[in-house]
Amino acid sequence: MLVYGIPMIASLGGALLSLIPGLSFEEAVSALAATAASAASVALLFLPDFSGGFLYVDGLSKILLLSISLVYLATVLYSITFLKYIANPLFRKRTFYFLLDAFAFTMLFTVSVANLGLAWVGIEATTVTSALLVATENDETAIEASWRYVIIVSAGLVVSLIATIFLYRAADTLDLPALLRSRPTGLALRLGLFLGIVGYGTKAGVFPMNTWLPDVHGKAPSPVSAIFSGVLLPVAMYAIARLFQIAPSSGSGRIFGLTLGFLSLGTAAFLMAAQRDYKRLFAYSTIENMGMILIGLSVGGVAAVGAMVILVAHAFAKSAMFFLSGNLLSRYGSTEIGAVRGLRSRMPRTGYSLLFGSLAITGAPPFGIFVGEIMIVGALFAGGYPLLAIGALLLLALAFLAVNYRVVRMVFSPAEGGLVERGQVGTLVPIACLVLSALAVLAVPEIAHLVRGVFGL
Amino acid sequence: MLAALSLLQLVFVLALAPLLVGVQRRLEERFQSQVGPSVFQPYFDLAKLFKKESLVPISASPFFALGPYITFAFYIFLTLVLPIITAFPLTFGPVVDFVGGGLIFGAAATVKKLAALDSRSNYAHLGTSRSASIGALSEPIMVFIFIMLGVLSKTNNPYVINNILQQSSTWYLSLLHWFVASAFFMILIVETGQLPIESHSTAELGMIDQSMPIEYSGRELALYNWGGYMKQFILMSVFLNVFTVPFWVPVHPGAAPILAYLGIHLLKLLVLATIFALINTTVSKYKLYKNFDFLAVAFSLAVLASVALYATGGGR
Amino acid sequence: MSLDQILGLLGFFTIVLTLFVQWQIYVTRAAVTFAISSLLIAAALVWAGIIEGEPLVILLGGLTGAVRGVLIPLLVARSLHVRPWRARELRPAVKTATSIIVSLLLVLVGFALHRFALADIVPAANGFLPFALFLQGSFLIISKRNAFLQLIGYLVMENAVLLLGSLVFPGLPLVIEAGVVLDLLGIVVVSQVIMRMREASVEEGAESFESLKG
Repeated sequence: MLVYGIPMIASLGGALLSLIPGLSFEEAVSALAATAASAASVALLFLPDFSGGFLYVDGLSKILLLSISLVYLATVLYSITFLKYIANPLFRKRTFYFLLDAFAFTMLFTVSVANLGLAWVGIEATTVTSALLVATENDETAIEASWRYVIIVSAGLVVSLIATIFLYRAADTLDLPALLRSRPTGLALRLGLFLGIVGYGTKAGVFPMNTWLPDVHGKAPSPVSAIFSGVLLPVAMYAIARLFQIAPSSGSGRIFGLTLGFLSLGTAAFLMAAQRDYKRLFAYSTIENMGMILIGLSVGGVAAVGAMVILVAHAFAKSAMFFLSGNLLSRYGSTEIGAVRGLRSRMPRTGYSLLFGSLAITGAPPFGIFVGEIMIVGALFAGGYPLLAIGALLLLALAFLAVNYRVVRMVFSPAEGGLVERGQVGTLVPIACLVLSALAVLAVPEIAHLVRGVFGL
Repeated sequence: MLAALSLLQLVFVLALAPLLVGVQRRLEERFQSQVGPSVFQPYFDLAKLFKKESLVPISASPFFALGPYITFAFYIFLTLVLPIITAFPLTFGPVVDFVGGGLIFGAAATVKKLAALDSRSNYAHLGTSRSASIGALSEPIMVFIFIMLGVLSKTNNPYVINNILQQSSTWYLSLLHWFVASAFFMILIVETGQLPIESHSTAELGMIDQSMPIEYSGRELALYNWGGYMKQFILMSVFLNVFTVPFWVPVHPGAAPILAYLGIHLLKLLVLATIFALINTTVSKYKLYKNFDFLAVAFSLAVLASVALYATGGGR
Repeated sequence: MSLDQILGLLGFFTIVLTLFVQWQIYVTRAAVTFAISSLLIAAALVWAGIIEGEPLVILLGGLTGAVRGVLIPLLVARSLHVRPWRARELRPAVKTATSIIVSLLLVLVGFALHRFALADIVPAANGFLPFALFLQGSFLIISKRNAFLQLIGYLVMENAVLLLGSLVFPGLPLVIEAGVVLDLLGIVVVSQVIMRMREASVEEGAESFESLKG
């Protein structure tokens, strides 16, 4: 059983060791912890599912454990060279790595634990650990963004606590294996599902509770934005996925999720057209992808597998985009799209990676998100909702245009000045993440195999 | 017998209303370590005013001089119909019920405002507009309170409400009763002009009710003031007899209990006057717009009373 | 008195106290009012534990009282003491009188919600109290600009959930309740840090944040 807990224990160990004053090996310790977590997650892919006592690790958990660990590793490696660009940090490096490790621990905890109440505790703990990370840059707007994040997400999670209570009332247990066996029904369960979608949706960036998302992503330092978009939001989606797994036949819940998913997709697509700040642009792209994932989970079946594919591909591609935006910020000093010009000649590696990345996150073939979106849209057509499918395609096309037009302008516009490319690590990490995102396409059958039990295929 | 008791009640209120005000003023001064006026000072003031000449502004109509007489008549009428010294209806008891009583209070206030407007004085207009805006909110709250009490007792008769509260401890201890009593206490503060709504000093920036009679003098002013004292006496008696301390009020006619109760009632009123004196020496006056927050809370308490009733399963 | 009666009395008292918090301008007084309502809820929990003879519930009540009723208001008050002139909410997002009425309307909405939709799940007659309190708490967050008052609004929401989870329903497992309380503490501690920075750098009102729009 211990093997299944290694990712959690590794990150917790990293957190605690980073706190030791005097010796400044917090970077090495964090990197080591992240590597151990990633290695264990990869190993877990080959081990059977585990359900016993404290932990419950099935296919869905394994996918998330892997995504979280790898993005965590990438973030730690990237932070090592990025932190020196923050002019006036809120706290010392040691505290940053401590919070980062603790943050990763809470996420790994949430996806491995068997009791839904403890999963709630884990998700609330992610807010506690990540709030200060958002405010690292220590300027007025960053602190304001951090406060909005804390209060909005905490209020949303209170709603999901009520949902948990209703669930407990409906089923008399919060233990995931027991819930899956007994498949409770009734008004309490339906209400729990609704409120859970609303509550966890606040954390996952679902409309209309996602007002905090663009602010936080715009103002947090790039590694923090990367780990937020890449894995924190998917962890909240994991909670929603578990709720759908417990109540697979709840029609009204699915319709509700579908509606919110489309609303998120729609509002994100339209608001993307008006963005002038590239970090907020990528934040809206995250909302768009989360909307697609929610649609996929609500429809279920093949669409849910597509949602998982999007989740994995998005984790890597989006974190790569935020790492790259960190490079841009460190060289151009501004987050305005208009200020970034001529990447092709001034920062070629970053520029072309940005181009591929933006194609990836908006769903261009042959990247993973494209495959996932096709699966979802196909399921909508097959299920007899052609209008919804066409609507989704149109919105996705709008988002595609909005993001790629801007990125192309950033990369291919003429500019003076010499080469300002960042060092090895600064570009290596995002490129590695992009490669992983592309490899996600090859992993689609494997993903489908892992989650077949969860989504009833 | 009932007619005699009605007369006794009227004389009781007329005679003792100024005393109550005098006691409260002296207590306030005493709490501030000052000597304070004699408790009989309001009597001396009224006597002095009756002897003085009445002046009327040229621009005022005859209604201006009539106003205080009309309101005085209203207050005499109210003295005869509300439970002050007895818990059974007297001669005029069946003429109005509780809501009617509330409306008569409103009518008296309206006459005061109209007469004040009639005087064409700036300060009077100022006071009238402020009083009207506050009254627009406090009157509905009073009516709502009386309706909730009606739900409690299934009638609108204040005498029956007193009997029920005297005898039934479930109703006396119920949430409905205490919410309504707190709301009425807040309205009492508004209607009788205590702090934090209105202070006794004549700072014109904050005057509400005090600036309305600014043009009166002589006999009209004496009747206006005496009417004001009676209003305070009646409202405090209603608060005590119907809402908070309905005990010891005689339920059956009988000379000895009623005479004894006269003394007990005075004691109850003196306790309430002491509480008001304490409040007046500890809180400070609200800025004008904050009066509406105060009234909003009073309204909320009254509405919560109805929620309490329906939540505990009553009112079906 | 039976548990139901205690719960009814307590719930109404908490609603009235939350109305008073809505009324308050001075943040310290709002924190004290909130502390009183939390202590009442904790006392009810302890009483319920004594009646039912469950020592764990008593422990939970004591923990709740200590954290929500004492520790958190102390933290808030101590943060304020450093900058007392910040301790007023002069320009709330919704004017005070209107916000009191809206809060009252939300109580009525909570009552209607319970009566017509949730009566099967939460059968107690006083079962509308957690929902009413929850709505009041969320309105506190929306209607106030001062961060401390928003935090108190969040804590009121958590109190509502505590009422729902421990007193109206059969209680949640203790592990989860303890986790909730610890999370709460974490949120408050983190909020302290953020608010301290926020007070140091910006005055009330966030209209100047141009870059956080759109």
